[in-house]
Amino acid sequence: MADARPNRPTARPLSPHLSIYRFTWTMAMSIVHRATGMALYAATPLLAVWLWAVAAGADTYDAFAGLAASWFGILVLIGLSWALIHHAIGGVRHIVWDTGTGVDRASRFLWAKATLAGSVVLTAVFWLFILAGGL
Amino acid sequence: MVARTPFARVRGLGASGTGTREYWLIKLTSVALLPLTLYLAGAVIALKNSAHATVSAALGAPYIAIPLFVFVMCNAVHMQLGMQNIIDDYVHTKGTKKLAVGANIFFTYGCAAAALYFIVMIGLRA
Repeated sequence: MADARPNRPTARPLSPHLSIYRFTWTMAMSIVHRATGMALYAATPLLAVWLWAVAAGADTYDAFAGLAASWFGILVLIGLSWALIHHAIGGVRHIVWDTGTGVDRASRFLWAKATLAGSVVLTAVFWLFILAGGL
Repeated sequence: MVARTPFARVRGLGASGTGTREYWLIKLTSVALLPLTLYLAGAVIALKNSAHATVSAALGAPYIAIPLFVFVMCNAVHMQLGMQNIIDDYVHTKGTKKLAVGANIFFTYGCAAAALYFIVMIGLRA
């Protein structure tokens, strides 16, 4: 206890992360969950911009809608929808894990792989649905 | 003689004590965001080829405006806590950490304030 000196910056031990672990599916999906969260964080101003365009009137909205429907806009929206779906499935997985179920080796790897596969499949279905003109 | 106990030296170095509340809020907002996102994504897809007047009227109607309002608020709390988690994990310098935590709060609630303002504007004009 005599070593505790709060006023002097000491090199306190930190829990190890990222670089020292070998690759596993759960760690990969943990990283992707965080990365998709950060992407959605960065994209949140777009929600305000979209609402601004609607509030600003027909001319502004048409310009915004044109940009969103361009190949670049579609590409960004596909990326964001995948990030959102992946993050959502990851969130459900975490809530299931919070209950104490599905944490054994087989279940957790199944969940991790299903998160990736499910996000890709659902994003593809979502966009086929939109671009095929359904709804 | 210095009357400092070992306890006084370590006071303030432990856990913040607010972890349970942060955990609860991030889980609660995630549960709220799931149905809100599905509902609003459906609404957006339904409006994708609509003219401005239709979009404006739909976003101004209570059945879209109210869920959108709640979505923006839940999203702000969720993204603020999520980014704070990342900052807590990777930023260990005291000054930089304070700056990052503060900037995160300004950004998340700034985005939310702008979005809520425009939702109200759309609602008043609809």
